[in-house]
Amino acid sequence: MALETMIWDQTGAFDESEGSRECYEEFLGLFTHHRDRIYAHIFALVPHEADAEDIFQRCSILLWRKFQEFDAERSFLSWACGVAVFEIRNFLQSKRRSRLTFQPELIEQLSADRLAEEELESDRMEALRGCIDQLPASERDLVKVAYEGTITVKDYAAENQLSLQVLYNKLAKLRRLLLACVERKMSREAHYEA
Amino acid sequence: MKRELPLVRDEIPRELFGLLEQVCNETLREGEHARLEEILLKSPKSRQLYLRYMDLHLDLKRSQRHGSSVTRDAVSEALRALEPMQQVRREVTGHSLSSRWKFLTIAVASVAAIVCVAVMLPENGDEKQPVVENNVPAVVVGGKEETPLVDSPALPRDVILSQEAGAQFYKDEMPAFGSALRMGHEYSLIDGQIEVLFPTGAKVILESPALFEVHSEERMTLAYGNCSVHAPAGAEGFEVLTPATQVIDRGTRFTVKVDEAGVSEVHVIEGLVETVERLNGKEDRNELDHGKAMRYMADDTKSHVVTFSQKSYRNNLPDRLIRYEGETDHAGGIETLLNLTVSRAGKTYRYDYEQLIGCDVVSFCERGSLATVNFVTPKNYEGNYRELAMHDNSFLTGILNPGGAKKPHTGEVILPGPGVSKDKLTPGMTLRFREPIVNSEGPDLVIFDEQTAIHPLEGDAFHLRPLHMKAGMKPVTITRYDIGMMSPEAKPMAEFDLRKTYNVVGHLEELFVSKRAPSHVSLNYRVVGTAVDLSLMGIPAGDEVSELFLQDVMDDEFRIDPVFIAGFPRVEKKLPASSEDAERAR
Repeated sequence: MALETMIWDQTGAFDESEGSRECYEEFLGLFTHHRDRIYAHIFALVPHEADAEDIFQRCSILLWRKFQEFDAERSFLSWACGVAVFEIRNFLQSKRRSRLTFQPELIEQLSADRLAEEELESDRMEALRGCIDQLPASERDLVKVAYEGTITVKDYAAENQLSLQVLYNKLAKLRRLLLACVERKMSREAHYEA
Repeated sequence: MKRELPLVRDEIPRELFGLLEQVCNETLREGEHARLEEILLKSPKSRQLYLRYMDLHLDLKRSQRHGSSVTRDAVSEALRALEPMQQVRREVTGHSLSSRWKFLTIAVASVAAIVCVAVMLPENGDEKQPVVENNVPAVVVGGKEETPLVDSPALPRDVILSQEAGAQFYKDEMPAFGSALRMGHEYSLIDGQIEVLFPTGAKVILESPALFEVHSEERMTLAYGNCSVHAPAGAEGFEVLTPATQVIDRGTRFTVKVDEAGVSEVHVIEGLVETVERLNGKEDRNELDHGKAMRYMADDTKSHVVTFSQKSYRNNLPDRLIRYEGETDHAGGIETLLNLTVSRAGKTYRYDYEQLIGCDVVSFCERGSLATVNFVTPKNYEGNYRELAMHDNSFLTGILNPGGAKKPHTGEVILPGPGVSKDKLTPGMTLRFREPIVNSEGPDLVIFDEQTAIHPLEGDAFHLRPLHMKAGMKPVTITRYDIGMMSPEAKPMAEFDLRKTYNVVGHLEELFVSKRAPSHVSLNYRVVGTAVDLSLMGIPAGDEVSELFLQDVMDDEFRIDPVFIAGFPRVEKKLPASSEDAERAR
């Protein structure tokens, strides 16, 4: 089911009038613009892909349900992330997750920290792509294996008779290099902008 | 392996990187998850690192999946299907909403309240404390921390010489700071200490004498000597080979000591290692836990337990002047000091010249010295010679060759004054700092000396003491500079002139009025330097001193030629007043 239909069907918050349709368009515009950042916020607080996606879907619907309560004078992203934290807590309570999850106090603190930094963020993705391009081919390949999603690192290690620990070590090194590189690039941009 | 590191201040614990890796690899276990929560709840800096790591993790997924969407295909498809609607949306101004949605419900107010509280939370005061983990190579600039977040993940691509302290190799030239070591090459460390950093994050401190060889980014041999290894999480599997055993890290700190017969001792300071010894052609694998030590024989004799000791483990290289930078002339000779980098109680600080506390020479007695070259000046100097006693940032100005004594003067320093005869004056020079320097953590002042290859390579030895000694105070004798002639950090000096006087001068005024003549400069000089800890003079931690008295050690024909002396800014945290601690640190 398309998200549009899903949201529309499950909320029933508005009738089919022109005003409601216009309102829905407004919502979709804002939501689509910020969706990646909302998802990133959820993923940072629940760093497990399947759970984060479940929460994101639930959050999407909740945001539409609550949209009439949104004060357009405020940041849509901040409001949406607040709703997301609310939904994360519900999700974790209702599911009695067997998976390891953070306690509510930490989730709220991380959310606050992340929102405070969000204002300062420039385009991380562009910086990261530049950093990946600078890696030697073998290291770029390893990043691809680890993140493309077609095979797990564990299976890759087994298939190629490689030590899983060595691969993890190499990935750790790469992540640190890339993090340092992204930080450098972003601070350089900030410097130029200033 | 869970490590217990107390989070008394807002530090980023070393184990956090390992825990973050486990989050990314989805291999975090219950106990580790609890530890991660504990760290994140306590430390804003750790939370910041966590959030940036998670953003990177997610961005990597996005970058490798050829698009910005990381959500399930259904959601991505659904949102793409809405594109035409977005076109309509773009024609609508954002402000149009305000007139339409102007009522709030209790529900959204509660959600908004979470957001408001979250956004308005004040910064934790602890976050502003300059905190650097002891052996993370972060740099504190002018007493303000440069975030270790940027420094600590910057692991090298090669195995590099990351730090050195008075180190020398047999036959090999000392590599420059940060340069790669040769794989498969046996290095003989005959003096000092070095720190070798591996791309996995493993860090090895080797003390002379030592024979070692780097094989790969995860393996090295120690054929002789002592080394301290810290393999943080992410560097598990790092190996040290010795003639008697193979030590495989499992996330830990340990020391390895190898003697001439290849007998090897392993002491595990923290965590766990796996050892492999060969007995009668068979491999014998064992685990060695923290607080345990074993001795391995190079023949087929079985290893045995020895008394554990952590004394030999080195977390850091000693406190020292690490390097300095300055302006150079057209030929690359250094003229002035721009900044210097110093390790103070294991933390690395960089100070600009302007941040240092200058000092002036206010007394000078050459007695006991045969030298008569007393001034160093820039080429063709036409300025006032009295200004050469005043503090400035030039390496080309100064008053040279003070007198001294083999044994440091411990009594009252006799200075020129009414009724004081010249032969009663205490040989040496008085340094008056422009503001008091405080005995803080680690070294508190720096002395630079001009030196040539025919002078002592370690630097001209000197005694230093408070001018006015109180109970418990004593002179310190420095015989080895942090940056000596053999250090790659000793920079060649720009051209300068020397001026000699015709008499051995008794005091400063006499020096200035004496007849001067040029002295030929035929040798190549370099600037050597050392940092000095006031604790070594028995000055209590936190106490101030304004005047110090400097004497040559008179152990050879060469006298000290100080060209720059300055104090470091105060560091807030004090060490206990223990000169023994400071002695050990050196």
